[in-house]
Amino acid sequence: MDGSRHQGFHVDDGAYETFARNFDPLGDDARDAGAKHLAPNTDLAGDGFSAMGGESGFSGTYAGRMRGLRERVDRLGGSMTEMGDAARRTDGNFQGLEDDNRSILNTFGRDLA
Amino acid sequence: MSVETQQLVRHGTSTTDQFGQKMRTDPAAVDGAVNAHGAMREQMSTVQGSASAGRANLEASSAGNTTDTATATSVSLEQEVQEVLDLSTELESAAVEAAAALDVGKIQNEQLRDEIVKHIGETMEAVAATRQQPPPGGPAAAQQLLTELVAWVEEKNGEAATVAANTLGTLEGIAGKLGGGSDSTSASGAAGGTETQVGQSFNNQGSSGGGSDGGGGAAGGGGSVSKPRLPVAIPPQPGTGVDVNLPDGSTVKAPNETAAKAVRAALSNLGVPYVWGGTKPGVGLDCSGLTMTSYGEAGLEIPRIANTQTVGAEVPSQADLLPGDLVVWSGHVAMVIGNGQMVEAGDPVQVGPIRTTNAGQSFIGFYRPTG
Repeated sequence: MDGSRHQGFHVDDGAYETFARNFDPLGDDARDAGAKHLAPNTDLAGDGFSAMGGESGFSGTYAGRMRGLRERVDRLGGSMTEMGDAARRTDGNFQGLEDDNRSILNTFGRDLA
Repeated sequence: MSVETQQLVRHGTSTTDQFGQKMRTDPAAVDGAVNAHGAMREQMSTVQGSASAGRANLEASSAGNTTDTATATSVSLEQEVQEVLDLSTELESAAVEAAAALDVGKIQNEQLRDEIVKHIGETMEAVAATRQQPPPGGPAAAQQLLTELVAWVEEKNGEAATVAANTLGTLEGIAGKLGGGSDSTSASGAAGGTETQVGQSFNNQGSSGGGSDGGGGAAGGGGSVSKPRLPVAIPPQPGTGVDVNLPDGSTVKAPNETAAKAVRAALSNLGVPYVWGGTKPGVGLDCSGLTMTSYGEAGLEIPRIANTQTVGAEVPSQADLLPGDLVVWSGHVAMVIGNGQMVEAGDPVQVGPIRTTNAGQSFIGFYRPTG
């Protein structure tokens, strides 16, 4: 036992390709959420939170936190995209391993014949 | 309404009008910001749900250390989405709370204004009637009514100042909860939380990945400000300038008579208490009230609000500052007096070294109102 919650190892065909495809659009979705909803509302138009909002430091603090949130969402979108890429590489690594195993078995079979 | 009554109303409501102007918001922009949080959270919740579903699917179709790494990374990202959702909720609540505080302030201020207008109208009718009456009525009694009216209006203006100060205090409190301090556009600053590191793959030793590292704490603060396009201030010619005597006994040269008069006027207010919204030299001043009235005494009209006093010409650097130049932040302003010092309406009006930092606010620049 390695301490994980499973016993043994198995990967269904296409499991990581499906996992990758699931993550593929999420990066764009997250970045789109930031661009569409946060970016236009970081610095409020017109009088915004009023001159008093500016003098109290509220407007500035709010805008600073909004910028931080937008950047966080963008980076999160990047991580989502990286997840899809990593899953696809994982799938590729499994394919390579399977090809190697098949080759070894074939060689072993020939040696036995 | 008689001309006399109109003049009294104009004068008597000038304070509440100023406060009203300072509390004027853009409701559409505020509503837009609040609604945007909801829309953003809805979209990010979908992202979170899709990530979670994909993870469950992978768990159902695979097992092993690679799967553990992949699903742990996914869980970490889903938690990050949750942190973003929580941050958005916090910001939305702050925006709603600030807008509500301003609405309450505006309503109370408007009620006081209405009271003032009504009371002036009624009193002036009584004054007109009293003037026609024989003693004990007549001009003397009418004058007494006017004196009482002025005192009453002053009292109401005091109440309006309290309303404004309370509103300002509430906003400062909300800003404080959000996290004041320096301007932050840094990656880790304002958003805080943890950040997931996604590896190249989940089954390649040395590059597999998942997990998170600590992010920064709250920084918030500062905020963006618009900077007007202005000509650059031209340095004065050698031998020109107007002498200004400073409180420490030294003498500096202002670039022109207007700037010199403004500096002298500002310095004549040293020790005057800070009064939010105050524009009365010698009585009570706020930061922009000090600079506006000082330039006003020098014959130059500049805007009332601190961050709109970016007028005349821009002074490119602190080394180029001359007496009378303004140091402008997003919500504060001070006047350079020379010798590396500036005068500002703290509490009270005081002289201190020139600086470009001011708690919770963005520095906009140096400006020479006389161009």
